[in-house]
Amino acid sequence: MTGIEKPGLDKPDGLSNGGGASGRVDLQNAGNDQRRPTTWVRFRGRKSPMIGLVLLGVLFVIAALAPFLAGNRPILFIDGEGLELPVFGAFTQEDFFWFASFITALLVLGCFRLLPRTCPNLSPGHGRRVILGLLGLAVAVTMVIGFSWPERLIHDDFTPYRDGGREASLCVFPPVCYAPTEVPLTNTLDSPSFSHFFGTDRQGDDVLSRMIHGTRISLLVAVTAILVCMAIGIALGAAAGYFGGWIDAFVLRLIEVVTCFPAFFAVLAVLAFLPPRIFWVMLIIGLLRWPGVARLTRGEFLRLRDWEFVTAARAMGLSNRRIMARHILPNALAPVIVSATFGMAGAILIESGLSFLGIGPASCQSWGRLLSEFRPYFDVAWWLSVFPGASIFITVIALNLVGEGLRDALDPRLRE
Amino acid sequence: MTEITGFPLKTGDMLRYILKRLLIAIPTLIGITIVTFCIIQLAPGDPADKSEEESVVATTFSGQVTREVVERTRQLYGLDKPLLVNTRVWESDREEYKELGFFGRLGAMFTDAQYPIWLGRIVTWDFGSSYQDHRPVTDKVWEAFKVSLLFQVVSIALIYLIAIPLGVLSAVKRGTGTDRVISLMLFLLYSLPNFWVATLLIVFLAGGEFLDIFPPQDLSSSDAAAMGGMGWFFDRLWHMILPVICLTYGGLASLSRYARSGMLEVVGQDYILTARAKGLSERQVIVKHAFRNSVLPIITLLATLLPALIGGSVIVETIFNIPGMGRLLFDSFLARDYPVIMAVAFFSSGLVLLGMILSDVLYLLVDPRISLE
Repeated sequence: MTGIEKPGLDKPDGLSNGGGASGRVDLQNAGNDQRRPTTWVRFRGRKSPMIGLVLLGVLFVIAALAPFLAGNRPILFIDGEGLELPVFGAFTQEDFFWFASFITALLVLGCFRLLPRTCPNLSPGHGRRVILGLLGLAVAVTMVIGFSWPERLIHDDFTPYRDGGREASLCVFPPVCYAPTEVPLTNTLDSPSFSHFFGTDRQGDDVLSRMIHGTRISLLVAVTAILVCMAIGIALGAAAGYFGGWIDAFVLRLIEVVTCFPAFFAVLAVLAFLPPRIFWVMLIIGLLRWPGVARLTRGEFLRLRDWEFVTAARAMGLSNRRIMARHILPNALAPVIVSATFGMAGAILIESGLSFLGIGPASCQSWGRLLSEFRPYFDVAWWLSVFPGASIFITVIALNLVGEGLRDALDPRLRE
Repeated sequence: MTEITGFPLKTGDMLRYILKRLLIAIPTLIGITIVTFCIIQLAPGDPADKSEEESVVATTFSGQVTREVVERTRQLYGLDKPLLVNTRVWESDREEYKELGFFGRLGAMFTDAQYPIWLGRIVTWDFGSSYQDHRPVTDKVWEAFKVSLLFQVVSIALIYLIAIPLGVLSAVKRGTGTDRVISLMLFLLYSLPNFWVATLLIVFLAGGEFLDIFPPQDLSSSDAAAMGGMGWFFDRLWHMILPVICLTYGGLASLSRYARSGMLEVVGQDYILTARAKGLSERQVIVKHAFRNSVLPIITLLATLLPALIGGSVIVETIFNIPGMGRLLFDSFLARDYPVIMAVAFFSSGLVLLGMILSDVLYLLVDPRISLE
């Protein structure tokens, strides 16, 4: 697929990580600009990575809009006293941040689509700056509202309207109209039916509802762990590859030490003396998985440090830091981004494995934790083992599909 | 990497290289044990605390006695000393260091702490005894290691036996339906969480509401000893099938993909074209010329399989109740059994390091283009 990019909002080739709709194709300019197709265009050209991307998008929407998809409070409620939006009334700080990130994502995607059309004279740098500015503004506003978000205690109970005990003029419940932890203690261990799509657990809670609310953890784990892992891995790998010598030897030893160290063990130990927060689990996973990134970055830096553009940069008198960050890193990033995508899948697997063994905060209802909680009832209730595991499986598949697509798109050498 | 040395390599060079790698592995191993040591000691609660709970029940209701017991237990196990560096030697009011001079104190600072003492004992192969059942740690670890080794050997053998033909087949039939199906299957296998596979296998094949073909747990049946040789063997085999599946499929998937891409790379080389031009049959080209060259790099992937197998086995061993190294580490941590934790960490990381060295040596042996530098 030969796409010609418009002089609009594209990142330079090889850097775009396939996010959003960067890399628009403009057929009018075709013919006079024979640049290589952008990463995004190459990525989009194949079916399976796009399936992965769509799956990830769906997972993000599920995570961000969880209260609208599963809960026992109606989205819209009208009776004699007027109109109410009970879901918003019960928003927690976490709900708000997720909702805001959803809106921000929509805005950014919209900007990438709309800006080149409405302001065709915008230069690439300008366009990117406008979007970054808007993004910054959105994040700032979100932070201010989010941290001053009132944590209200909601007492009014809408379940009688759902169960048919009371009537209202209009009462629109979420598609899965059960809260994750209602503990009704009736209908326990019901097999999947039309009222409970994925069945119920020991306490009679809806399994699907609990899974929808658990989506956030997996996505957060993937993103946080990989950010930590990339920060450490790139820094150490770059230093090792660029400077060589004793720094290289030291980093290589460090890589060996961390590789040999069992992950679950570190999490177990750290959770024993830190407050049980899922954040620590994510941090540890990141701290244990950087060797892969470091090894890749080191290899790329070793390969690139003697190239002419680096020598030229050095001859210009640039500092080592600038050469590493501005000249070598952009050229070394492609394999790192690819491995980071696979690393996200790995992080999710580790987190769910740990949670399955019962290691980690009990308050955090991740998919692995659900499986661990359901484990005693697997013999009598197959749905308890199948569905939460399948959601982990699907998430991992989506990330791996995107990873493979990125690898093919970013690194033409690896393409078949 | 670029220098081309003659083949075969000189034995002396090789031995020197192996020796060098082994020597480099020692500081790494010390690093790993230091990290492990610090992490387990950072976790609150120690074996003395655990016995405090018991002694509260056992002795009187005065807290005085129990605290004394805890202190004595701590002293007995040396848990009252600092972890890495003993700075207490410089405090003038300490009785035990009074007679020492400056150098004596300096020496004591680096030797009279928990880690140096442990390290000194390890050098003489003294791993101590378990806090839980007072058996020698080496016995416990050896028992667990034998079990784990059995599973690792079987699953690694299976991985290689299945993955390589599968990868080669997929590469030879590149672009056809066979290739697509194999690639898709491998991709799905690669993404499956192994604890989920384990639970599904148990739910659907071992008891539960569905089929009851395999035993869901343990290494052999409770009456296995009475079955006699063959009976015992088949019983063990029967018990091993599900865990081995869980240990195998992940490595299988990744290895097959390596085998496929390695084969594809080799098939594109000039000497394959030459072999075809000579008029060799396709079978001979693949089996004799391409396969042998493509399989070499895969051997060295053993090193990357090892840590995953040892680490991943914690989950599988816990689910299937197999008394291997992973379970031993897990249980010992829950009981704060320091000597066992340290010994398991020491041996498993040592094994992983050995595996890494082994794979590098294999790589040197099979690929003469790589120099020792």
